[in-house]
Amino acid sequence: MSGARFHADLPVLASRSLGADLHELSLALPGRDPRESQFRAGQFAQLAVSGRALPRPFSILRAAPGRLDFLVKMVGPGTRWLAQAAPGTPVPALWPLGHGFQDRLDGGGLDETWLLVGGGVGIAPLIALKEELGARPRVELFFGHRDGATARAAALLHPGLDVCVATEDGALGWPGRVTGLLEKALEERPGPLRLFCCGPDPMMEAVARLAARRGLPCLLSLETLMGCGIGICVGCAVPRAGGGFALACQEGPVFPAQELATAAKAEA
Amino acid sequence: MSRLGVRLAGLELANPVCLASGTCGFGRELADLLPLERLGGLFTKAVTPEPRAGNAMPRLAETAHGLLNSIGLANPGLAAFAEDKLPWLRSCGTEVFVNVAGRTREDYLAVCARLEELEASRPAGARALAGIELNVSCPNVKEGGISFGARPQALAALVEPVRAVWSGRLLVKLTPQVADVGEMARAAEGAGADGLSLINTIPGMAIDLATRRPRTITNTSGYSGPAIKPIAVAQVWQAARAVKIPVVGIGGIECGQDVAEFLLAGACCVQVGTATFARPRRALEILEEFEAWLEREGTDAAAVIGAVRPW
Repeated sequence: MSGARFHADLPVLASRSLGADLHELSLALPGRDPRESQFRAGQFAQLAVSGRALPRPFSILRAAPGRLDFLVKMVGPGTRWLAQAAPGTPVPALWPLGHGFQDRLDGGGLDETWLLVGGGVGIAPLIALKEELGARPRVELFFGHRDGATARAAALLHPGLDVCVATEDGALGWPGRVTGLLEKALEERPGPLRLFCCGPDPMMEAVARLAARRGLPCLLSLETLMGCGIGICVGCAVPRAGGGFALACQEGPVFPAQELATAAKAEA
Repeated sequence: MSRLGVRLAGLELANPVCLASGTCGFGRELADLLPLERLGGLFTKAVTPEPRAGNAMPRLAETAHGLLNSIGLANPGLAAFAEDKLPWLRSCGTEVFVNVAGRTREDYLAVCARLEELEASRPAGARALAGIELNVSCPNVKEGGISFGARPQALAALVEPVRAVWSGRLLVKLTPQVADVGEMARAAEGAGADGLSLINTIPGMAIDLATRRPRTITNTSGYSGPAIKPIAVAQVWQAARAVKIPVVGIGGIECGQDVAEFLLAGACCVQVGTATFARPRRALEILEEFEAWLEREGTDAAAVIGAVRPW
């Protein structure tokens, strides 16, 4: 843990349906402390849902004085409750948690081109990272989605951002997986590169493999199943490359790819 | 004693709401979110002689009314506990029980004997441990754990030598997976236990239909949460009637009324577990709700203990 953590019931400000089961959920901050709206891209919040034992971890998409925003995909009863919560509904929240991308950054000069690779709801922390990096030159975004409808819905989150999009059904942008699009970019870009990635496990393993083959530094933000988010349930143990486990909620969710057993295995 | 005060084997607790082993780490993980000093006490994550990495993922599966876990007693081991965890625990402002587990009787004895030494050599002015909670009921490890807690003779054969090496307060955490919890309670009492904690989790299973895989790595794993509360209340009631030593109630406590229910059944205090995961401050809210209930009833916590009116 680094820095202040907050724990409060945050009323829903709005839940905007983007289409394709995606919602942009905005929660109202109490405004008692300016640090409430400070986070580093990649950090997450735990949002508790009515009647369920475990809270759900969400990357923080955006924070502003008075509000916290999240990308929520309805996949089960918990996310459905959150996405459909009426304005004013209190959502028990705990934030910001874990380490962000820039907390785990080892080097990274301005001569490098940074490639931000997101899949599905994994685009949320990368949109945050792009905003956090502000005017840094040579930051490129590659987002992959299952189909055109999802890609169009997700694009509503980042109007004005220049994003290379891939869809598996080929309805929008590059036809195929985002890793194919990334591979092409890796071949075309001159100079030093660095990868930042968040998405489903198979996608991140593929990105880690591409990075390892080219000897590129790569940070992964894991979408691991979590329990408490604060290291007390010990449920989110991910295997380390050198053996043993790391708790994703404490050491992660952002890890250098080479620290993780799955990425190291992908390299072999 | 105050309205909320209770006694646990000679120890005065400020109130009957404690944190359960395995759901509050070693206290420090929660300290910025929950004022530990306002609770009755905390029970640490299980400590084994050697560091344990625990089971592979998936370790957790949420169900409609509870939580399956298969952590496998992951912990930093006795030496790291003594070095990194214990000094802070002594200063955290609440009563601390160390939960102890092992594969063999020698494992339990090694941890308890070392804790005895650490107590004897603690710095002047450092707070003493409130006691040990002996974990003979973990369903998620292959050896040890529940094998000691399932038969009265095996339980007595563990508790007696532990009693000989640990002079402090000794609680034994029992499993609900026995035909007669009263028999196990009497075995622990006869072997020298000062109190009992119950219940630990109950073996359960959930299966993913898409993959046809069990949703936790050990196939069956420990079920906790509100679904097990009536089972826990029954076990507390049966154990409390079987022995003279105090009983600590655990199992699905989510609100102040749940505390009242456990106390009425005969528990002298309770441990809040799974509820802390969704709301780290929940134990304190539960305490406040329980206090409000006592005020409405015009009674004290101590007067509620065992005051159920059975048919």
